[in-house]
Formats: sequence, C-alpha cells, structure tokens
Amino acid sequence: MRFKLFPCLICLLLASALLTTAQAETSAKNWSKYRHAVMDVLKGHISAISLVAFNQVEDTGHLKQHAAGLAEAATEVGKIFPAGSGEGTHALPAIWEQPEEFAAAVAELERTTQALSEAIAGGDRRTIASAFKAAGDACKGCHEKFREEHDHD
Amino acid sequence: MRRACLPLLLFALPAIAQVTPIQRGAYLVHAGGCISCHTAETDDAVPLAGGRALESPFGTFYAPNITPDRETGIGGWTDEEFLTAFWEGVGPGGKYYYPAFPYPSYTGITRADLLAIKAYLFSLEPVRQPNREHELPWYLDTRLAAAAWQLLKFDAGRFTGDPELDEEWNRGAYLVRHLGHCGECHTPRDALGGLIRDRELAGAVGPDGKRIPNITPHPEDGIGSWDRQEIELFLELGMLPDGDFVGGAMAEVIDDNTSQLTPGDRRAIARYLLSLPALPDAEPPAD
Repeated sequence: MRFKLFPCLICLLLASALLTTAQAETSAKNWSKYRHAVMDVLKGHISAISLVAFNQVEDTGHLKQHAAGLAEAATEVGKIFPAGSGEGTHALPAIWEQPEEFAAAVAELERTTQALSEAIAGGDRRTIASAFKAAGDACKGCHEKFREEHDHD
Repeated sequence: MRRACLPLLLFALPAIAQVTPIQRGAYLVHAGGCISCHTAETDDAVPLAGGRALESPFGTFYAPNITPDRETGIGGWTDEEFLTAFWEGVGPGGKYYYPAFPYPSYTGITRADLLAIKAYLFSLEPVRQPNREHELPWYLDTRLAAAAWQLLKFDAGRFTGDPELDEEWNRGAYLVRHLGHCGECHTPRDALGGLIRDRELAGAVGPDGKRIPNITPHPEDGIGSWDRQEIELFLELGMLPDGDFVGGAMAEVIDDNTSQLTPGDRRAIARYLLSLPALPDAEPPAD
C-alpha cells in the first residue's frame, strides 16, 4: 500500500505545481478575455433588469434572480485585474497606479448592485428606479476613470 | 399584462416654467455643456473657473474662467458683450475667438436663453483665477487667424426652426444643434477645422485619433437600431442598449449635461436624432 500511495502523492504534487505555474502564466490577453466574459455577465443582467424595469418586456418572474446575479457577479470585479494584466487591453494603467481609488470604485459597484437587488426584492418602484440609477452611476464612474474609451459597435 | 411605466421623471429637475430666471439659467448651463469644459479636471477644481485643456489638431486651448470675477472672469461684461461672444464669436474689445469655444453652434441660442445663462453665471461666487494662455503654433497664435477662420467658416444666425414640424422636433433640433452643440464632437471637420454640414453627426475622429460615434439613425453604423426609449435612457443614465455603460468624455457629458435635462428635453433630442438622414460611416472604423 505504501508503495502505491507514494507515486500518487508525487503525481498530486506535480499536478499542483503545474496548476500553479499555469495560473502564474495567464496572459494579459486571456485575462482580458475573462474580464470581457465577466463584464458580459454584468451587462446581460443589467440589460435584462432595465428591459423589465423600464417597461419594455413583461417580467417572466426572473427579475429578482437577475438582480441577485448582478450583485453576485459584481463581487468578482475586484478579483480580475491582477497586476500585469492590462497590456494591450482597454484597462487603463490607473487601475494599478491608483489601487485605493480602484478598490473604492469596485466597492461602490458591490454596494449599489446589492442595494439594487434588495430594492427589487422589496418591489417599491421608486426605490428600484433610484437604485438602478446608482448602480449605473457606479458602472459609468468606473469606466470613466479606469477604462479606455472605445467603440461600442 | 404590461407593467405600469416607471417614472423616469424621478431624476429630472423641476419643470423650467416653475423656476426663477437664475434657476432657468442654471438649467441652461447644464444643457449647454458649459461645466465640462470650463472646469479644470483636478478634484479640487472650482466649477466654471476655467483651466481645462482642450487638445485639438491645431494646438491646446485652455478654457477661460467664466465666474463673475471682474479681473480674471467675465464680471465686467455687459449683456451685449455676452450676446456678441456667443452669436458672433467675438469677445469684449473685438477679440476674435477660436472655435474651440463652440460659437458656431452657440450662435443659434436665443437672446432669452443667453441672458438667463448670464444671470446664473453672475449669481455665482467670483473666483480669482487667471486664464492660461493657449499653446498654439506661431501661425495660429494671433487673433487674426481666428478672424480669418470666421471669414471662411462661420455663419452667424439664430435658430429659426422648421415651422412644418412640431414643437418637440424643433426643441430637439435647438438642443442638439445649438445649445447642446453635439455636432462639435460628432460631426467631422474639414482640413481647416470647419464642420462638414452635410455629414452632420455622422461620426468623427477625435484629437486623440479615436473614433467618435456616428449618431445618425443609420442601422449599422449609427443608432438606427436604438428606439427612442433607449436613447432617452442613454442620455439619462449613460446606459447603452446592451447594458454597458459609457465611459470617457461622453460619461462626463451624461453627468453634467444630459442627465440633468427634463425627460421632455431628452425625448425631444431622441426624436430629432431619429429624424436625421441615416448616414453611413465615412470609412470603416479602425480596429
């Protein structure tokens, strides 16, 4: 038994080392792809919420889930901009040059999307409207300071 | 069953008919986009005290102080001088302005609106902050160059509107073409910096080489696939139809200008934009 366990342990250690190496070598391009994927999740939830909240689509009963999903996805934004992952992307150097300001902007996104989720769960339309605006301001404020202006085609 | 319409009015200022002339002027200062350019970019900048750098292919312009300080601002200006600056592009003492001050658009603003703007500006606390000299090549660093430009490229004249069309369309045209001066960024310019009028709002290239979007209702190149409500929401919140939020210079325009408008004014802008000829981009956007 001892003879079989030993090679297994060696394999696990090697696999773990390989995984660590692979993580350390994630390219800026792949980080950018991943960020776009996460941002697409945020955009999808926001777009779905706005279509229902601003009376263009009937609520299919999933508005609360979209709001909760948005608040959940927002908690990942602070984790997807590791140092060195900005080259050749729309992410501005200010993200890493002003880490406290960026962290504050991310915290604002988390706070406002959570508040929007709670407002939608509560159901008061005026509260929803102002919470939606606050979450939008958090998105816009972050893009204004930390994202390079680019075509939205 | 459709849900009751969400009150988009929530975020707007009170109807302008119910406010004092100074409040009306404050509204028009937002609608005219004065704050974005006339306020420096530093966190502690005093609004409207000038200092913002406006880069252009012709050099860097620094927006002046428009608080009512008599020495460094506009505190000594008469009503007529104020009107002439906007309508003719000429400041007190016959000083010809460079078109970095968007008087080719502002020339259409009504007398009543301009005097309300002046009343508001003169109600502010005067701020003593000397203006910074523009940084221009020698051949432009003379007001004669500005005078020559006016001769070649500037047509003064108030907005007359189109009597064939209704009040909302005309309000939208006035806001887009004159007070909001959207074309100063979104309309391409010729080699001398004049706006190419038959390409109105069909997109341009900014001083940083980046593309400024086509906002005519062209289905692929412009905003033809947006409906009116999407345009109104964009002007109010900065949200694009796909749920993204705009950044860069337009985010500032949303914050200081279009989000501060009444829903009726945003609706009028959307109506006017969607009524324009659908123009394709002049060339494929650089990737």
